[in-house]
Amino acid sequence: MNPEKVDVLVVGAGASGAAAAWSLADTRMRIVCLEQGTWMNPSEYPTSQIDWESRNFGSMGINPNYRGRDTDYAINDTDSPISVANFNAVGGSTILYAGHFPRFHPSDFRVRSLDGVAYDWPIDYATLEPYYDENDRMMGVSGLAGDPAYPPKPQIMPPVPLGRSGETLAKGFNKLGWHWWPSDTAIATEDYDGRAKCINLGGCYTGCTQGAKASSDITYWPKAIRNGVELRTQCRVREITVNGDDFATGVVYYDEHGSEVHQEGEIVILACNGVGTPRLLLNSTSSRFPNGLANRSGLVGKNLMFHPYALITGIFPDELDGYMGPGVCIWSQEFYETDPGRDFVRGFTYECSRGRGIVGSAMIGMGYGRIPWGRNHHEAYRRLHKRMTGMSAICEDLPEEHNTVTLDPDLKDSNGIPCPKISYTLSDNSKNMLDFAIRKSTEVLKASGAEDILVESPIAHGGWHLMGTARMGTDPERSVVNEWGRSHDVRNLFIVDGSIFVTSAGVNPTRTIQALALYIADSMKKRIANLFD
Amino acid sequence: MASNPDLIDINTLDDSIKKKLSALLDTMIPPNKELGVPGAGDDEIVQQVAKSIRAASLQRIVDGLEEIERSTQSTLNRSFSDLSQEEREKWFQEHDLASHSLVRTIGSLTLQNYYCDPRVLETLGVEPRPPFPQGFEVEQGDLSLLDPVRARGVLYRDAS
Repeated sequence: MNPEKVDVLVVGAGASGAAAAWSLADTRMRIVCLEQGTWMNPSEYPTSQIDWESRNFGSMGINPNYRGRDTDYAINDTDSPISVANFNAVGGSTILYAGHFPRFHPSDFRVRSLDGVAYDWPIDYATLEPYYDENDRMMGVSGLAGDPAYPPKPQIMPPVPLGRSGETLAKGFNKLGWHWWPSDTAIATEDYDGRAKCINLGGCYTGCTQGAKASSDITYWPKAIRNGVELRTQCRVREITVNGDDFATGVVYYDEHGSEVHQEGEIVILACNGVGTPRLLLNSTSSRFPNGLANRSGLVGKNLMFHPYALITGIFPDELDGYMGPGVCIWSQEFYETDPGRDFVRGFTYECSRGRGIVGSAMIGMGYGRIPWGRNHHEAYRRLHKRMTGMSAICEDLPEEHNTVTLDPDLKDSNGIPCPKISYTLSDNSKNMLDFAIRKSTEVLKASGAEDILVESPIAHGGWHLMGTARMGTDPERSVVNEWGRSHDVRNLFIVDGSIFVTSAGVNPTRTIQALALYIADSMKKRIANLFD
Repeated sequence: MASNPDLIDINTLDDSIKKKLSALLDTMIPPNKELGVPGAGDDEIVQQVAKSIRAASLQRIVDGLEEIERSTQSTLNRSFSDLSQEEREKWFQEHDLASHSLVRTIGSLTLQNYYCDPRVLETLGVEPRPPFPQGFEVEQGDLSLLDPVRARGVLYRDAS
């Protein structure tokens, strides 16, 4: 028997679904969120075990194709130099993210006007600013006020420690006269809102056992549930149903027993990320929408943006922080804004890491030929142990229609739903930006005292950020949702995840994804009387 | 670690395979008395490595071990595992076993398990314990290093 109709159906309980559900709970509407994953138990995260690093390669790994949890779906990434990194659970990919938490800059919303490329957003920094602030309070952001690379923003908690690694790199940046600043992080450096402060476990990428890292399962969700939102786990949505008037009527999903359920709803909100959302829309075909729901523009699944990353690691003579402390440390936005003297437009952020783990050092050392097998193994390993730090360059990716998410004709998940296929190429602009970033990072690592430098570009497994595949805009011919997240084609369908990004900026997207989700939810509340007009 | 049906049951490996595996792992990461570290062919570490082999990779690993065995038998008339450490290392180098699919498959599993062994961690000055719940101390650092950055003034672009 199908359940009763509800007011709002949210699909996906990750960063954006959590924020939207929490915000809409104010309305006292009946809200149900469907999540294909389960609740995670932080006490079972790897850092509670001595072999915590090895567990990164198993069920807590970042690649769904290798991780193979029951709650995952495979992604065909054979046509892309970058594979998708995600996690499917309550909290979504915030379970595994580093907690690096930058905002977009004012210029990021006006790329076309300022640099003549891509498109301007239909909203600006000022529109999102109050929602950034609200999200910062909900997630608990640590950082240092006064960063000259940003407009002023509030400081909630002090920044994560610089440590030896951060100080070493900071001195290098200072030698060259380049910008750097302690990173904004979604990591509590003080006890905050029921969460214990960071104790430098060093395993942020595999879930925070301490609960200091702000994954949305421990920030938004407890409050949303307390305010009446119902969260159903292990519910995998197959398609969105529509009526003859182009209104969504609900969704069909498989519950934890594999039974098919039709859940009706007055409003449907998608929060499945830049791959999951186009997958679901493209799989929701009907006579009214033969090419996928909300896809009369033909842009659903197009303009996929990752952030191409270069990873640049220095090997230093002195001992650094190694595996201890949050992976995030300091950032530099010296090369963030467009410089006409360069062979690329837009720019990037250097996110400085802290160090490598015990196993990680061995894996990297072997991978780069710095550690051999045999009798010289131990000596070579000890030259790297706790002596590596560096940065990744997170490069702005510009939207290109040939970078796509489509439905794979053969691959299916455990419920028989078609899996997504990624087709993606690096643009010349991205290649030039990556090369420049590597050259400049080599300069700063040498200035910091590095004796050897290792480079990976692009990071092959680094498709953490999934954006642009259902972008927002005012023109229904050139965008999928309007300037407040409502589908142009289906007036009770909203999208709140990274797929609505118009451009990617050169920073991690989660803080902006959540600010957008809060902004869209607030826009809905303000228009509640005539939401579908 | 939770039981994973993709991983092999260690008890299904016969002793001769375990012996060959141990000899190979000791060749890759030999014991070192000066440092006080076991080799990767140490019984406990071999057990851990074997337990982390995925069922899908097992036959490739067994085939690779047998291939090395046939090779030393036909050339030296001796089993690979009966060679001295020095002879095995020489064989490993001369036959470029580092590029062999067996070593590529077993290599990362070896590193993942070897560098979690408490005896190895202690020689590296690492407390053999999980990070949680004690955590670690990290120096706060000197934020006055930011003075020259502050002195430069605003860096972001006016987008109005």
